[in-house]
Amino acid sequence: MDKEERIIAFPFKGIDVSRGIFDQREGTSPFAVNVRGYGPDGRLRGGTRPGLTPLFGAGSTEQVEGFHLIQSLSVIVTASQGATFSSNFITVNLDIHYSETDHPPARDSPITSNHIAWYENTKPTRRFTTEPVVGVPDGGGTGRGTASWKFSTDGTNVTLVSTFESAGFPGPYAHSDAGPIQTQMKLNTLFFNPVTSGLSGSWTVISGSFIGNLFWNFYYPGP
Amino acid sequence: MQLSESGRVVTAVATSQGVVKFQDAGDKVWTTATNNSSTTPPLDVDNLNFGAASNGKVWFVDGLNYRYFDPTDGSINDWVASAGDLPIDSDSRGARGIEAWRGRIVVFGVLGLPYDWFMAEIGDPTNFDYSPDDPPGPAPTDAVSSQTGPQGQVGDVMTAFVPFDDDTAFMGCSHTLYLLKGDPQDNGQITLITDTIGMAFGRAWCKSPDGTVYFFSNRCGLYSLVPGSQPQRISQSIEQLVQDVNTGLNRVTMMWDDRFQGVNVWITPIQGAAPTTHLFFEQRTGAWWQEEYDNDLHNPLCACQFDGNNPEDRVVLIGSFDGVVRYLDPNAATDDGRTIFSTVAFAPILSPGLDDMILDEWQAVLGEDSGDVTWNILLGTTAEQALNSSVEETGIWTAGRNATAPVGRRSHAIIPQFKAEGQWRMEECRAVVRTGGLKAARAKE
Repeated sequence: MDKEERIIAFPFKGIDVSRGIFDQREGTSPFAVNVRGYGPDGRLRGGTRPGLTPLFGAGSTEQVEGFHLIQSLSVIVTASQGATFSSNFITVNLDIHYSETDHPPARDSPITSNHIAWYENTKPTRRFTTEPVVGVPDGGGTGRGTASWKFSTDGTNVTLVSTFESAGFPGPYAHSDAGPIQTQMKLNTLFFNPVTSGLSGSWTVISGSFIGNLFWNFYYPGP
Repeated sequence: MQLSESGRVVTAVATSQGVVKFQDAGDKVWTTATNNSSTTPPLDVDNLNFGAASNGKVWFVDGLNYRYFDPTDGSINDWVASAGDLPIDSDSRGARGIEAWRGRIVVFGVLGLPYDWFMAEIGDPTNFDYSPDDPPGPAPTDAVSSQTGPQGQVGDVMTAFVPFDDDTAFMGCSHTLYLLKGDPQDNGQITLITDTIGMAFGRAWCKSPDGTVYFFSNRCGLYSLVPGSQPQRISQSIEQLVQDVNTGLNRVTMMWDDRFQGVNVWITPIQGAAPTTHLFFEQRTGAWWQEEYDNDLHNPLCACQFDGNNPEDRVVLIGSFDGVVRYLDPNAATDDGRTIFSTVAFAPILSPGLDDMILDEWQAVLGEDSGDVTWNILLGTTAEQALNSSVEETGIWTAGRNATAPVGRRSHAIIPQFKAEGQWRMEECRAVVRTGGLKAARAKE
């Protein structure tokens, strides 16, 4: 007889022991334990059931009253005052431009984001991405660019620094995200008085080339 | 206190050895409630108990004692009637069942008053005065019971009270089911839904967000129920798996699982930790699944929905024999460190002409995050024999797309089977088969 290819589908319709096994209803299983159709990721594809974890976290052996069975479980919901906002945040209007100068055509990549909430000691607070920036494709040479930025806020004096650090380049840096880090660009630490509004700086290329997007991560250490 | 953006604090309350303990979300320990009650411990040690939350407190019954937990000061206290009397029978035994419904606390299941139900005043769980003196008579919010209201007793042993919505509740009894429509103190009526189906005792029921009640019947069937219709049996495909459950020796607990959109049906022997098989009903597919815990101490005796503010806090909690509260964790690959042994048998590969089948090869694609799966090929001269046979061919599938596995086995019935000791995910599977020809079909094996 000719060979026939059959799809062996997971029995998504579950266990069915209501018929003879020879007449097993399509999509059902004559026997299954600890499996389900929908997995923990919400996909219908078949697999094991989810497991159990102690309420207080994996490995916890915290018992209600020693090694005695639990007689009941209940939940009570009461009102709370609700979350309060941190006092250590400001809103910043941020305007970044990146210009590539060494590899024509030179272009200007504006990255603008307004009214950003900066929370103290939360990092990275924001991640900004340029349009794809093409450096030297063969990995040789040196990419070079300049960037400028402006901040304004109605808060008190703050310090904004970039925080991306990597081996060999401790300190604040921006970097290329195309595979292995191909370039490291030092970003100046910024001090500004938001009351006066408007500040710009520049960075310089250290070495290497880059292909891909540039990312900057900023961190607001608080007033 | 927990601060929450939604302006609420969710507190879990557990009882064990008659002691009441609580845990605010985020805490890593149980805190013993200050016992202001008249007994030590505050609740009966020998019985399971039930609690219901209302008016900012959890109200407990255990068949002997009436207590309430006050989360404002973390105390457990005597539940004393401010008016009227809490129901007790001639032997001073109290209610065993409790629920909250339309602002009332409802208690039932007093051993000496098995047909009666009692509802406290709306908004005051301590007021059980069914006949207040204030003219012109009881107000619609006053306490009411089967002994004082015009509805009277239900005529059958009450085993469950299922709040459905503000206007509707179901009364589950030993072998009957009633619909309570409207408040009994405000011309509400109790009507019989069926006198052939009852409910197992306790909380052998749950409700899904779409308004369907699921329950385990007195005769060990599983049903869905919505107001205005008869219960619909949904366990036809697994009747043999539940029909022998002894509802007197097992605690049946049901709980809706919103994450997996299904119903957990836990059937746990209450006289000691012992092997048992639980069920899960997957609402989206209508599928029934069997579930077992490798550690008998993990079998659930009670459960509740913990609806915290953090995503990891929106889970189903279960209480078991070893005193540890656990939750159904979608990301857990084990049962608190114990292996999850899983098995699934696929539908048999047969020929319509009763011929032999030959499985030449097969191939599987598992999820990229899947663990290993042992595949087995079961053979038999009948499908039933194949299912019960020993493994004829075996191999291992690993994560991703596997190479085709040659099998080359022949039999009338061929059943592929997966077995695993850990998490796995299936994507797809294919097999190359052919029939053995008509001559083989006539052969006697």
